[in-house]
Amino acid sequence: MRVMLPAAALFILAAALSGLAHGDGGAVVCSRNVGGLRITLFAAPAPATTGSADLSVMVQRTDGSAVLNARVALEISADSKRALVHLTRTAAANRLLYAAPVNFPSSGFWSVRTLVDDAGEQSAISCGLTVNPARGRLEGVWWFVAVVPAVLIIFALHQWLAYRQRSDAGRGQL
Amino acid sequence: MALVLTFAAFANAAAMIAPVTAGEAYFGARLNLPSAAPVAGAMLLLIMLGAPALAYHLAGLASRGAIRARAIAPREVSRRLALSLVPIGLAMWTAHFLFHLSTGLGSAIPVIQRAACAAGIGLLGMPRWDTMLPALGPQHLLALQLLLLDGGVLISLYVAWRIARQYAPPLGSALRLTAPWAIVALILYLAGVWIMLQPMQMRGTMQMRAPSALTSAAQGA
Repeated sequence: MRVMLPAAALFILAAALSGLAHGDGGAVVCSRNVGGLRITLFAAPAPATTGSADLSVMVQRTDGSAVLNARVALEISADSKRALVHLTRTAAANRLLYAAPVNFPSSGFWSVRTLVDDAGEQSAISCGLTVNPARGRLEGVWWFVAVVPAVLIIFALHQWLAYRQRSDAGRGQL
Repeated sequence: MALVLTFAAFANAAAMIAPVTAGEAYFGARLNLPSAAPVAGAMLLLIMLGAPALAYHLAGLASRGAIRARAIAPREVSRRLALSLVPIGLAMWTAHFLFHLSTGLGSAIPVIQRAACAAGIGLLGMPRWDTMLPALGPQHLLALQLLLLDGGVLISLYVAWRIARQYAPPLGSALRLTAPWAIVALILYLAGVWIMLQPMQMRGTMQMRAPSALTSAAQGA
């Protein structure tokens, strides 16, 4: 008990402060060196799904330092759909990133071209982003949830029958 | 401690899903707070401390009737039955971390390659970030997560049943003793299923902007 209480307090404190780390499910879509810069594109949720997504970009110099005053935009396209999205640092929780929310109306392969203007010096990288259908549904997996009531009904029946059998056997002995 | 860890599994996962972060941002804005962090912290504390305490006392009170006629300390029964919730908590932790493992597993190789490059070891080649893929497809991952939760809740219910039969052997009494704890386990299970069906938290932009900004951000896309 002497160890458990401080451990519990530490655990609760760590969990309560975990939001400060801004850790999340975002993943690196691609990262390349171009024109003296390293441009990294992140996407959240990971894997990306239809609906709202958060695309963010980190721009670094070759020494690893972050470029914080560039102009960053994304050219997003798939089939006939096309959009230009401007990313800002004020929109990102992590101030090293340029971010913007993007709405993906359909699943499939989307092409994302990241454009960086660093004091007049233009750089760009192109990546592919696979957008999956949104997960907010049970189609195809509903029976994984149905397993629980099914097992409970079978178990309840088994227990009741076993109880009946024991009761009958007890009466028979009398 | 076991209950705190069990409920923490759900609090931890819930804190990362979009509807919860959006709700935190909404309440943060309504309360004129500079950020949603205090609301998130309060929610975590409420689920990790308030909810287990409430569940423990309510389930303990509700199951007391089943053992009233027996010379058994109700607190001892409650303590033992509370431990039956550990499997559903463990299942939730595992299902949650499976998500992070699946989505992050592919990034291990380019990260190692990049570290090797930075250390001047070129043997592993240049990092290929664009070749990263999740270890499992979204539907397979969801199915596996639900299966883990299924296993967790069924084990929790079975353990609660076995403990109840030890203290109250007749079927009816055992059922009355188990029922409150089974309800808690099933509520946790349903919460876990709902959490698994939600999209993961955005990187942070959603917390900084009104939800309407989403629709206008890239209408063409």
